[in-house]
Amino acid sequence: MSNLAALREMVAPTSLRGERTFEVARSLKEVLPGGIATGSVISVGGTGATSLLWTLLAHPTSTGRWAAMVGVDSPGWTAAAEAGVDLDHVVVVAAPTASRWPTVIAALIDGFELVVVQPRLAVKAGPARRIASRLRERGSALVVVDRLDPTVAMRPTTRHRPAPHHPTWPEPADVVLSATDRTWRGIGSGHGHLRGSTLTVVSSGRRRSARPQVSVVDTAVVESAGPLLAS
Amino acid sequence: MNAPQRLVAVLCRDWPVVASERSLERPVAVVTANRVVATSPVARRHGVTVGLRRREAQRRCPSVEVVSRDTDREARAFTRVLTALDAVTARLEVVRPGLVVFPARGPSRFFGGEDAVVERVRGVLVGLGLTASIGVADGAFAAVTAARRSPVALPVVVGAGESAVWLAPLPVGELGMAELCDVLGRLGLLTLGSFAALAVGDVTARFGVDGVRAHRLANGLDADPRALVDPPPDLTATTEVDPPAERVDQAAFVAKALADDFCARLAGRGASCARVRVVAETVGGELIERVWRDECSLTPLAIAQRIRWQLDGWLATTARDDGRLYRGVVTTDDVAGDFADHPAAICRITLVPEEVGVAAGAQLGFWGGRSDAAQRALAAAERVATMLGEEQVTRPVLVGGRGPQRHRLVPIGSEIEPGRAPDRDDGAPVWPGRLPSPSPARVWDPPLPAHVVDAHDRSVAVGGRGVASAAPSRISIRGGPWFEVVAWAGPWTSDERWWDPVGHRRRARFQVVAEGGVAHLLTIEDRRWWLEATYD
Repeated sequence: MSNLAALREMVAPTSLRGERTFEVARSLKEVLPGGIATGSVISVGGTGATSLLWTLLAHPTSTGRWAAMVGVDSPGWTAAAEAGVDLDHVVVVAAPTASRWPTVIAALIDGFELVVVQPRLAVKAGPARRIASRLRERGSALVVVDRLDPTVAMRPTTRHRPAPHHPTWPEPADVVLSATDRTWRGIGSGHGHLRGSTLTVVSSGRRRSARPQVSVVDTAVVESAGPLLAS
Repeated sequence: MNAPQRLVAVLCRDWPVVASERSLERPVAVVTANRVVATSPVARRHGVTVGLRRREAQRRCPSVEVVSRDTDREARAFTRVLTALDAVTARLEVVRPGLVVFPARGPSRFFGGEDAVVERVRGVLVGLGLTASIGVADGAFAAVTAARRSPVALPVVVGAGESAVWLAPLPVGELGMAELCDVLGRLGLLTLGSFAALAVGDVTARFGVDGVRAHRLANGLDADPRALVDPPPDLTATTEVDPPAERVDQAAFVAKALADDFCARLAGRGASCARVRVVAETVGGELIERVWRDECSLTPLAIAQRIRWQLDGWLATTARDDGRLYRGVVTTDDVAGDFADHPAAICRITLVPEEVGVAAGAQLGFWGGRSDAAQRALAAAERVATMLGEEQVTRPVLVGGRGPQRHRLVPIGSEIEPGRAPDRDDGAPVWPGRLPSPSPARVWDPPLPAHVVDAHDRSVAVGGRGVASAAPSRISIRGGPWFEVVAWAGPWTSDERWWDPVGHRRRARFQVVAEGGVAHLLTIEDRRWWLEATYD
């Protein structure tokens, strides 16, 4: 028995996998207690997925991590900056053709700690496995974002029952973050304006315990400074 | 101070439009990163100018055809022009697709004078069905400026030694350095002549190395003094491509590493290179050679892109659509077995510096420039840029504005142009009436058509006094299903550029929270509703 213990100590890696993570904002501590683990695939979806994405990227980019965004359509960079994303550490790549997609992602994983993708079509299992192993090798993380279709995206998602895995990603993601229960402040019927919101983030996925964890993210921004109305 | 070389500049006007194979007789706008970069003459007459947003261009001229920019296509199309001009001179130096310069001395002796050379060039281009502007002057800057300012049918020939005099009355904007020209304008130096009249010492003290280069240009000189010695042979970088590259993108991958090596060697000697000769050798022994000229920024990325253009253009001379490098049929047996089918596979690429000067102003910062992570990230981004094209890899930069779109995407290779600052130094907003925070997380570009109706299913309108006709009750985006409105606010009217008959637009914005908790920013303009952004 003691031999086994000694052997185990010898073969154990000097730095544990859990130690190599990218920290995230405090508001996401419940759903990502250890931050974003390197080599992991995180799926982000639900109503308010984009706000959740900005919150997720805020801490890593502002502490010097680099993020690449591939094919994410129509991001509002002003909102990203307001959420705390450092735009100087973000590179945007237009959606490549399906045949080049895996090559582009692989090349980006070599240089970027965080690669955010929004695949147009479902990714095939082979390329996905290769990308996953490259992620582990290079110590990067992949964030898969839902496509936002404004014509249908308004359907409320059922709380605590997020999709089992991302529809465009073939394997179950390591962590599935799903945003629900978006509530807005400051707006009435014909008066006021949007001042902030809260959304509930539910995490599940392969790497999570069976019971989903929940955290509430407040996307409030400082009160608007200037006069609101002027022509 | 040695005199600048006498050069002929040939500028194909509106090249991005011509290369897109659209008719110049129709309104066409070429767009990159949502901004117009080139227009056809007809579009210009309708008020479509360079720098406009795509939607604004479409509003000014609804019949305008919008083409997205493809520099690869431009380079490919330009190969035809270069091949034709090879008959006039052997020393073509390509500045960019659409602009080429060559020394006047040799051809003018051969053909009997500069006018004869100009005639010859014009004949060649007319033979291709192109109209080009031609300028002859001392120094590349004066020659290119002369070409740009010449009427289409009339070449401008600036006499020997008269470049400085000819440039003097022109506006400083010709230098093309927005930041510097802005300052000069505010100093009251509106012409190149008045800038050139400043003492070199004063310019150095105030504007640094870049200022001195601009000052030399304004004086009709080259940006850097010409080197009188040949570049040392050990600066030549060469790489064997093994196995030989059969596709342009394979070759481009190797080219990037080669360009990095080339620039590192130059930097190691504290040298910079304004002209580089790219030589690609095929398995079949064919040499593909071209000289590329860029006065200020032959970065590794720029060189790699030029290698790619060169191979791409050469490939286009025999039309192949699968990107494979094979031309003709091999009959000889001396080609190695595996590649016998592809005699045009690239087996060697060489970069030869044509003119080497002292690098000035390109020193690293005090802390050694960029961090390791930044260098790795930029290297990866540049590699992807060589694969997809330079415009496809960008970084977001915030600019000012009132609407939801307050950013621009700038290609990673280029310097940030001084845009409209989002905020003043003291943090006070310079854009009164702008959309309040929080900003929408997604901004739809172009906006999506929408429908907004009140409780009686009538479309909601906004009157001249800026009041909504009724409370919005249901919305539908792009003909999709209808959703109940939970909360709404507005209208916020905006009357932009009321002084400008062409650019004037009136619209009103609403914030609408729909069932399910998604908030939208909707705009009404000319009684039509648009979804501008979503607070996702």
